[in-house]
Amino acid sequence: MRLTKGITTRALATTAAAGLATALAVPAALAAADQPASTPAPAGDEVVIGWINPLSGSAATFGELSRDAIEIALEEINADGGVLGAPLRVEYQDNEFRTDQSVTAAEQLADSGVRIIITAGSAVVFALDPVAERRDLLLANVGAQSPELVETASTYSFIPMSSAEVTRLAELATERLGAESVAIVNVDNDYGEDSADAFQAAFEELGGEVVAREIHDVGATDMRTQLIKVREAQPDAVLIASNVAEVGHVARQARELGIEAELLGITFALSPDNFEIAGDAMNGMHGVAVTFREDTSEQSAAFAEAYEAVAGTAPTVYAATSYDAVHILADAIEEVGSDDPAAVAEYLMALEDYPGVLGPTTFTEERAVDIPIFEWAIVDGEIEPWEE
Amino acid sequence: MNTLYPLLVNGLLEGSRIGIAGLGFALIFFTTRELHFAYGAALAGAGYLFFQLFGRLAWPGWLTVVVVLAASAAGGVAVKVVLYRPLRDHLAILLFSFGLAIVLENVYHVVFGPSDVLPPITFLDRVAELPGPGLTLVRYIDFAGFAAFVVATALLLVVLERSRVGAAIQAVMRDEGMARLVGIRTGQIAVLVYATGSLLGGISGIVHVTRTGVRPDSGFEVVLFAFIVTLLAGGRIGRVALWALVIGVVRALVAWRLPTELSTLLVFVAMLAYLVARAPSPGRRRLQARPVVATGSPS
Repeated sequence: MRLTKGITTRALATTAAAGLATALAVPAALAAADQPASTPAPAGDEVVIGWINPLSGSAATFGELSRDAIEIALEEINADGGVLGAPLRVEYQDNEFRTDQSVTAAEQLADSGVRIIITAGSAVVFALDPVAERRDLLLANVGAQSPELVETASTYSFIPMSSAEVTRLAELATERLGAESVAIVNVDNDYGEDSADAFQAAFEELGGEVVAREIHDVGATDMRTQLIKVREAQPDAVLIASNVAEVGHVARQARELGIEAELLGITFALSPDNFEIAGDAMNGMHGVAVTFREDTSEQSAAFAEAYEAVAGTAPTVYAATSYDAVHILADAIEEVGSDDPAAVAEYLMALEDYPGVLGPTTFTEERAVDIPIFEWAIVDGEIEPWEE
Repeated sequence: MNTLYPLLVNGLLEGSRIGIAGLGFALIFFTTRELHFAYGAALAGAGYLFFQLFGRLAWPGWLTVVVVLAASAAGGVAVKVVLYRPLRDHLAILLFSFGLAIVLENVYHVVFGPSDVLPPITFLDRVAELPGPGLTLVRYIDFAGFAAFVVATALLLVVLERSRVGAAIQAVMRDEGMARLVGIRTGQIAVLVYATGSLLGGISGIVHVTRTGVRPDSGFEVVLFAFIVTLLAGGRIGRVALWALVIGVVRALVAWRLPTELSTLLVFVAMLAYLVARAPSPGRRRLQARPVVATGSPS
């Protein structure tokens, strides 16, 4: 059928199909080319753990560093004989940090026989928890820190919840900085909202006042409107409860707009991306974090060296949680003799002082690890202990 | 402390950023009827090129700007001549441009990684305090971006209204078939507007990377707002600039008294209400993408 002069339905459909096919195929090809080489073994000859995290989109950085760390762990585990006499493999699924794609990926992994899934992102974990409960899966959280995650049924967190961090930060802001008023800038997701709520509760209990709360979108890069309003409130300190890179943008723009208040941060603040974005604006920031430090132990130093050889950069805490999670899960599967979620969960809850690269690791009753929290200050671009 | 004034200034700067991108996008659309959605990805590419030359290789700023703008214009021409022209159909071009945008985003991801990149802080990041109520600090680079917007708008309007080539462009905007019949080389006009529009996209990319950095999908939000102001402008280039500033100011006013997170939402609500109110009713002229400005005939 001729639609317009010079073009038929067939030509239009062919062009549209070519365009859409290109749009779909090229990213898939690029993502596939970026996947680590792995030889899928026949079913029954390997133990497979699932992984659902972003490898594309605004949060792809997290997924890539997690994957790099996991590949190091897999190489070590398989060099040591694997798990249950078979190679351990991780099946990576890119969720673009979207909950709908996460759910689809989880269903696909469960259909293929996977029982344990490594994932992160508070919104993603909340979305996957009902799936995990229905499909009898265990979710190994390596990055989500929303305090509300303790309410989930199937999630075991290899990173402490932010409530532990922000409660301690509220104490430090009061004791060491003498802050009586704080403004909060947080990302508009479960992590940001829950962290901000937990900090506000702790700070107000100590007699402080939260004089402003501003929210920005996930992935936002321009927070000047929010910061102009924060500046009006004249806080003693500004807590930035945002994701990697967002913290950097907030810090840079806060100083640009003449905000002289103390800047406070939590775990995501220490990512190298923030320093790339904010430069000197990060100096003077104080905070607490679950963080990776290569001088913690021999294992930490060895991991740091291996990671830098692969990724070309020092590992972040999320690389460390991913690495530790795979090792702990491999030990669990080996010990209980299967990847049965209930048996693995029982093993995890009994875990005490596991020598992880983040330090001695113990699971609490809330199904989250208890790891030493680092109190830090940024001086001349370097992360240093926050001295009293 | 007064926040209205600094919020309004910030809103105008934001509007000017939308406006520069909108001018280029609208010029292409009004003239060719082609929705060049890869415009956003190309704009992000300009940002990456600026970052590489100025931020990484420490090229002089003026040379970097010249090269980035030239590359942007050339890239726009290449897209038009090599990729779009063989497709011939507007719908096919629209679909292809979406695919091209996604391809470019993925290329940026592979080459530059997923993280935001910003040029290092320089003297251009120094702030000046504007006179007026409330503390209003604006970076020199933001002044330059706003000035570029004002100059670009003025130049476009002058060229369209007062020059021979502008008259030819307006003739094509009004009726391409008739313009061809009277001897206007519409193919060359299309290439010209792609070059000019893409050059404006290059300016937008430079403004963007210096204000908030660039990442692989940076161009999407920019082209979205560029499309919106193009739609609102009803065929007039001047209105593109005006609507861009209106959007920036309205967002500032909403943020002044309401939660900041509502500012974008309410702008979209207002836009939808305006479009509905402007929708044609029986007896009224249809919503049109063609300009209604009467000009002299092309010589």
